[in-house]
Amino acid sequence: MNVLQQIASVAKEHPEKVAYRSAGQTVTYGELWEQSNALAHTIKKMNLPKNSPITVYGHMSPKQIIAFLGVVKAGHPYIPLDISIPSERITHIVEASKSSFMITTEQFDLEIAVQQQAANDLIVKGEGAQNNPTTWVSEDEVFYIIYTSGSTGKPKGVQISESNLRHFVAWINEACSLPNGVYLNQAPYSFDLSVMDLYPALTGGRELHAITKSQIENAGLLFEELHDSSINVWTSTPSFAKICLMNPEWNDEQMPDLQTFLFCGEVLPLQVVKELKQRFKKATIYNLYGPTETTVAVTAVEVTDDMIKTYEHLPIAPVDTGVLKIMNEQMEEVTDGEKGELVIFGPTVSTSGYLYAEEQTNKVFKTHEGERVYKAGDLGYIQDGHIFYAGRSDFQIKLHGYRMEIEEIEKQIEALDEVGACVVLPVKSGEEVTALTACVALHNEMTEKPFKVTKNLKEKLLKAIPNYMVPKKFVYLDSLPLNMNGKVDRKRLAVEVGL
Amino acid sequence: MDKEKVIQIIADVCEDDVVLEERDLDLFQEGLLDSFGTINLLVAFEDELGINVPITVFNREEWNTPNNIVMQLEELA
Repeated sequence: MNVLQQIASVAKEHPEKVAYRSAGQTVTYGELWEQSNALAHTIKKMNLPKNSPITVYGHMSPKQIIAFLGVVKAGHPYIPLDISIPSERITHIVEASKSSFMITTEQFDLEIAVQQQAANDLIVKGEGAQNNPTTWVSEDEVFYIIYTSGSTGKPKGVQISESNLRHFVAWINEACSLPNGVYLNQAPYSFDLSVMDLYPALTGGRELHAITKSQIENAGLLFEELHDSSINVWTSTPSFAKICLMNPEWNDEQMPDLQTFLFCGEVLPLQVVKELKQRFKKATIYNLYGPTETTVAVTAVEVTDDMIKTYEHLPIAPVDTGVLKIMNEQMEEVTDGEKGELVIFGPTVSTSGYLYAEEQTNKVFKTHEGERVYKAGDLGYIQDGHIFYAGRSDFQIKLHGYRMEIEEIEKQIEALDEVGACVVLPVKSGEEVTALTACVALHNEMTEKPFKVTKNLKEKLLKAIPNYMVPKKFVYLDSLPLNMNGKVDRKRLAVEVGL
Repeated sequence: MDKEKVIQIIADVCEDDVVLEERDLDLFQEGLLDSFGTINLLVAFEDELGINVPITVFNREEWNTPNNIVMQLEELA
């Protein structure tokens, strides 16, 4: 059964069951199904270009997931746009994706090139519409497009097909022995970590409990919400778990139903796992690995006490999954202990790559012995039958679980009028990136105090890139040091600014 | 409680000396503090001042500026 058929059968058998809960609002499977039919019906009547993407702007409202399903039922891929995405980036995504329409579930004031309408209006207009599976997105058609940071200076859209998503859901159910019950969603829908709980929950007839940005920003509210939630399966970045661990009362007394932790998006620190094991004695912890390009995650490791005792870093995969291999530049598998690039195989590798970016697609999506593969750019090695992560081969980093290309940030800073040249350096604690520092050479001599200049640059930057990509610290230099090849000498620069 | 020391801790965590000069600056709006910075700040208060601020007490409305943070700490100390 495809993804929509699976949700349909839940809606048919248990229409009264709660599908989604967020900030006090709920929808049942019956409502989810009928309202997404209604929305799909209204969309279809608009005669938008066939298969053109539709953006869905909003946050955690139940209408957001009704809109996702309605869009794919009408035969279009959806592009999730969270309220945290800055205006210039939204404008860029709307234009670059050639999307034909925007659905909103939160207040939206920006002028954009396409028509937009509130999800609620679309639902009301199509009330009572019948289900029509003939138009549903299926197989190799694109189900969703998620935009991720790009080294060219602009974000790129990763296209995930219905077949990719269906295979991901089947795999994770088995690999992590997913139980029934209540699932947590912490990530905004524009971040593909959210897919890790959204579709396993909906296709399995489970309840998804989404927490909001304002709850996360106010710890008092957050823990009240978690305490009352009966959550069984926890999906988040390790960084988010670190925030929760700051509260000594966050444990299995406060969340007695918690059975499974799923972590993905960045390196899972040993210290976080040790602490969780003490506080949640009965819970199982999984460390998952995978990039957006291969549908969220492709491997999972159940973290055992033995691993915690033996290793300094946790493994990301067993060696024999068949979907993750470590290869050298000649695309041959490396021997134990030797470093190589992580290459991903299997049915969740994006079928069509990046949207309208053939060159970028061909660089990383390859055919190897007749099979489509994705070269992740991550490095790894094999030890004791496990695969371990060993950093990046380029300038991509993960900061608090957010993936970003250092070059995109540099290009955006260099695009500001005042700036002559810029290099962004990661501030590290061990292998973990904890902050970013921008080293900037201005066109003209500084006439104001540095913090005022920084404030002004940050304000401009926030229109183009999300908050989490803006470097925390700005250092001003007369010029950036160059190496013998005439490129900026990043190592020397790091020493000069004291990193 | 040493007010200047508190301000210096905030400046260190925010990695910006603007904190020393503009004490009514909203640290969250200015992008100087986020959820992760908040954790570092609370850990620093505990380590350097011996004041334990429960994360559930901290909110962005009352703990938003250097001056307000000093005031809140004085109540807890």
